[in-house]
Amino acid sequence: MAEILSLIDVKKHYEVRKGILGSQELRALDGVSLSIGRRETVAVVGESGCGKSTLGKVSLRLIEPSGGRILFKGEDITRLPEKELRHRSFRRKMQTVFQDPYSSINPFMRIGEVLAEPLEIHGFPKSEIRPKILTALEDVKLFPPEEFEERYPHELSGGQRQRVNIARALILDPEYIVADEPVSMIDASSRAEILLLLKSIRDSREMGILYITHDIATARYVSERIAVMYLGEIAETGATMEVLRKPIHPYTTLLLNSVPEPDPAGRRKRRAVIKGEPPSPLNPPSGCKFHTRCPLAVERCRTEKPLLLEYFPGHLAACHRAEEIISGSVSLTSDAS
Amino acid sequence: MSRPAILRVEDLKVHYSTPKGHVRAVDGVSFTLNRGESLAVVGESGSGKTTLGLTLMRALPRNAEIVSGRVMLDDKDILSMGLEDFRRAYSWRIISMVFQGAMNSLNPVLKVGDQVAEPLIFKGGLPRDEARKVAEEFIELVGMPRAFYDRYPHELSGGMKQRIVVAMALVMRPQILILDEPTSALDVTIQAQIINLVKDLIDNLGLSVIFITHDVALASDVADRMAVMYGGEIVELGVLEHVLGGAPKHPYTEKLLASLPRLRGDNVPEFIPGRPPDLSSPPPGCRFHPRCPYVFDKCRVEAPPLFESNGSHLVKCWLRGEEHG
Repeated sequence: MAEILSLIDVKKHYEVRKGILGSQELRALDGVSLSIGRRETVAVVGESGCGKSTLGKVSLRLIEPSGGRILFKGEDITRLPEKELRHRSFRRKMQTVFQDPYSSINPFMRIGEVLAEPLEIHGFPKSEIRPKILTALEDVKLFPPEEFEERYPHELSGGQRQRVNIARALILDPEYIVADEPVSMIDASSRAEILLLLKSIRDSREMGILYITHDIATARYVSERIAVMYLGEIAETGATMEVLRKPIHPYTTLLLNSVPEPDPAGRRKRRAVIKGEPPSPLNPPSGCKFHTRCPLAVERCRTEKPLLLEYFPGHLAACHRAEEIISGSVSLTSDAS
Repeated sequence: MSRPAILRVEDLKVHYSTPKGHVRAVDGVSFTLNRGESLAVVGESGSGKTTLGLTLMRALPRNAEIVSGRVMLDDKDILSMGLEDFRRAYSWRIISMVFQGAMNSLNPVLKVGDQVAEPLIFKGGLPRDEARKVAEEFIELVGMPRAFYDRYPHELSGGMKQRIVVAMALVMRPQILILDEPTSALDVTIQAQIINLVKDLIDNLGLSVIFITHDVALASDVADRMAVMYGGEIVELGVLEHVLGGAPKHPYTEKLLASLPRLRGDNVPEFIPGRPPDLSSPPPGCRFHPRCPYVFDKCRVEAPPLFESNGSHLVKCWLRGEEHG
């Protein structure tokens, strides 16, 4: 599979002021490598503050990385000046769908105007604009398009607005899209519709999608591969179904355990959950960053940082106890605390 | 279930006056909450579930009007009594609520412990030092160290703030606790911790709980019974096994369940075409009929009643009526 976008050892560090004198380093991304192929959706999951949104923004060059490289179709765009990003259409080819369908669309603009804006900015001739708008509305299944282009955002439901957001991202014919929590504010009954739409668009347009979410169940339906992040690092990555069925990293296993299912059988039982909350990224734990919450942590985990190693083809995990977990000599299924 | 009823809601109608006209947010809702049980009220945005909770706490906004109905608690209608009487004798003491987004409305310049202790002093008349003691007990009860009494909201994480808000709702030892989306802004891992806490509270304090949420999966984790709301009405009510299991159900419930992405199993989520009704002019007949795959003529003109099957399983659908002849 030809890679659309590759991130190689990407870092994003922030200086955080502490009082008047000192400052501290916050490592939002601490060496992340990930690639997204054509017709592929890669999901990035993790708790808030794990760096997943920063990763998406860095990949679009909306945030400048502090280290590492960003390749778009093999070409290094890490240090390309903004002017060149625009002139050589990188900006046009990389788009984003935002989380909040309510605040991300100007309420005073008709849908047609919302969709015309990116085309005007990118200098499309007037005669091409309207036909493109109508096609884009059809692509996201807002029928009849002639009627929807005249409407104002407040006349649309959350799901319909999110389709406008997707249409706006698609109208420039991008090859790479970052969708950051695109369904978290959508009601359950329309959520599946948006997910299916993202899937069909990706296939028909041969795009690569980076799907950022806290909701692993939705990641399962849209993504071929998944990366689980913890405190700015990838804890585990691999084919989505394989990672969900046979997780290696204890964090992945516990994260999966936290997800409730609509099933009366689990009712009223206490669920095994991850103890505590993610530590502050300003002062991350030594060794494996997950060791403070990991029921399997041993001395080595406290001192030595585990490497992200490949245990099965394409299935990587950063855990000192991975071999034991895979062989079944240790497991997490025991105590529910 | 042979538990005695603690709260009875009878034909409740709550409408909002808006520039668009009357919005029938809650439109003829009846149910019973039994002692020691947890009842989940699930529905999508605009289904009326939050309005229902606010009504039970007499905390409706000014433009809301209780058009009809009663809420019976201890054989008294808490809707018809004077607001002052309700506040003095019922709110927080007997019926209490964790409001949606409450963790973000903690006073940033007061210690969280003082905020937990506040009702004990102003409603319970306890001296400060005693109130502090009780508040500390409740802070411990919700799974935090007593010393956190002296912290300020900004020193706490989202999960801890949510625990504080739960402690505030419990500190007057109510019998009924309403939780409105108590975990929707939290990560799944923290959400699971809060849900475990709620389960413990139900078991240890013998609380009767109304759990309002849009998240069916989450509801199924805590609830004994489930009420499904759609367009201001309860369209289905029954024990969890019936509502989520194979029992004949309301087409909306069926489609809602089919729309949920699941971590396990092989179903592919479907979606419900169309959108929820505009409650300022709801469709005639059954409110779900414009989106219902099984719609027939009767549904378009006449609203179905709640049909009963399997003992106590209520379904507001003509299809279920047909089954009974």
